[in-house]
Amino acid sequence: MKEDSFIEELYRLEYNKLLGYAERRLNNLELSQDLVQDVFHEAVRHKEKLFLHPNPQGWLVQTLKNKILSNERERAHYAKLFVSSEDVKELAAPSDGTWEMMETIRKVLTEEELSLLWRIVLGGESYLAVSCELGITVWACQKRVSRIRQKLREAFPDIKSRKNLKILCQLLVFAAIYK
Amino acid sequence: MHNKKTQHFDGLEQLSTQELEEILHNDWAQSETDNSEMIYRVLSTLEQRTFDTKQGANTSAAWQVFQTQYNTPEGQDLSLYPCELPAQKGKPGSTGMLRRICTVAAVLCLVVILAVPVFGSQSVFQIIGRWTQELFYFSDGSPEPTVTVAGVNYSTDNPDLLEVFNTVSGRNSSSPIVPSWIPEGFEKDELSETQTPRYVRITSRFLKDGKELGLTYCIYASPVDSDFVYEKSAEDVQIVEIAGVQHYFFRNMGMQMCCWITGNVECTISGDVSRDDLLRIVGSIYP
Repeated sequence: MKEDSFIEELYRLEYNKLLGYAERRLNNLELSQDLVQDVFHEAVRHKEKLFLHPNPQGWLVQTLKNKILSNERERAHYAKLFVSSEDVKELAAPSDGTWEMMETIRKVLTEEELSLLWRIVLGGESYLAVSCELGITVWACQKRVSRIRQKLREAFPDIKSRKNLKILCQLLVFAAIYK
Repeated sequence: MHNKKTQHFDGLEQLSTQELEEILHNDWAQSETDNSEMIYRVLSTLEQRTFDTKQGANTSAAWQVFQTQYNTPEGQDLSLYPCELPAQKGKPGSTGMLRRICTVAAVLCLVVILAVPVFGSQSVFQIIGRWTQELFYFSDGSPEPTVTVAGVNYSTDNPDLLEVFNTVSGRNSSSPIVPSWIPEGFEKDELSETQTPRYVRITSRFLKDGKELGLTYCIYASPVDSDFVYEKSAEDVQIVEIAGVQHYFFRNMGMQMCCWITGNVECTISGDVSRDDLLRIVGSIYP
């Protein structure tokens, strides 16, 4: 199919440029490779439109930029609420429902799910590296992370409130360190 | 395959590698702007300079990984890092409506700036402040139901902003500080007051498709004695004077921010919006 040949040609010509762009921004080769591969995966998903696009190279660059921004926003959103180990110790004192939230997290997420969420969302590890380590496919790993996020949304419907999100992230750190 | 529109980017080869890297770095400061064509040319120039004989083999290896790990039926309708995809552009050579508007706006802006000494305006920035409201305000001409307070029209179609205004006014702030316009789709998620010994802080938060927009006002009992420190990205702060008030625009990660002090109030607007939208939000504060 001509669109498939087109995608492969585009890949071979543009992969290194996109990787260089992502690496300069992220300073993380593994994550950069993951993002660039996902950009070309989007290209495959939209290959008919991309084949007719007047500037497919620009489309690739802008898509990569959007993916990097989206990823950075999510990690920054959680990283801003990261607590030091000293702060975590303060959570030992029962207060305003935090222990209930803690118990809910323990019921909702397994140890493995907590670790996976931490590594992918906060740790900046790539889906490829984590999935290889776990012996699963990249997409199986992606589905697990999606389910984890959904579980947290259902368990904490008020999570959009900044105060509750801050408490949740503190508890995630607490749970990870004191598991 | 290659984009033939190279005439606008002639001269990139004359720039040093550091200068090219700086173009890439500065592009991140304008994340909402689509500079993809220029960025592509910069990347191409850099790739030629740093050509590695192993690049071909590395790309082949990456292609194999792509085919076996990523481009599989299992991931057919999925994305690892979901994002907004670029809209389809028009045919090469065609001039879109937006480009015409921007061209006309740029010419008129230049005329206004050159006319400043003639008409005796005190500050170019005051004119830019007003110009921003006029440039970005689109109206179909039909009158909207409004509530006018201190010369500023608050549309009754957006009662959330009016509620913020009433809350702020209830704390005896007489200065105009609440915008009368925010981008369509943002809905109020939170409005709260916090009392401290030195000030009252009123915080409102709006949400739209996971994006946030926040308005924060610290109303001091005496002249503002602020000890707030705002995190910011590396780019310079842009100062814009509107209605005689200096407004400070900067970025923090992906968020656009504006801070200023008027009267006894320290004001902050921050959000996942474009710089242009933020300018319009701030401009809508003033009559």
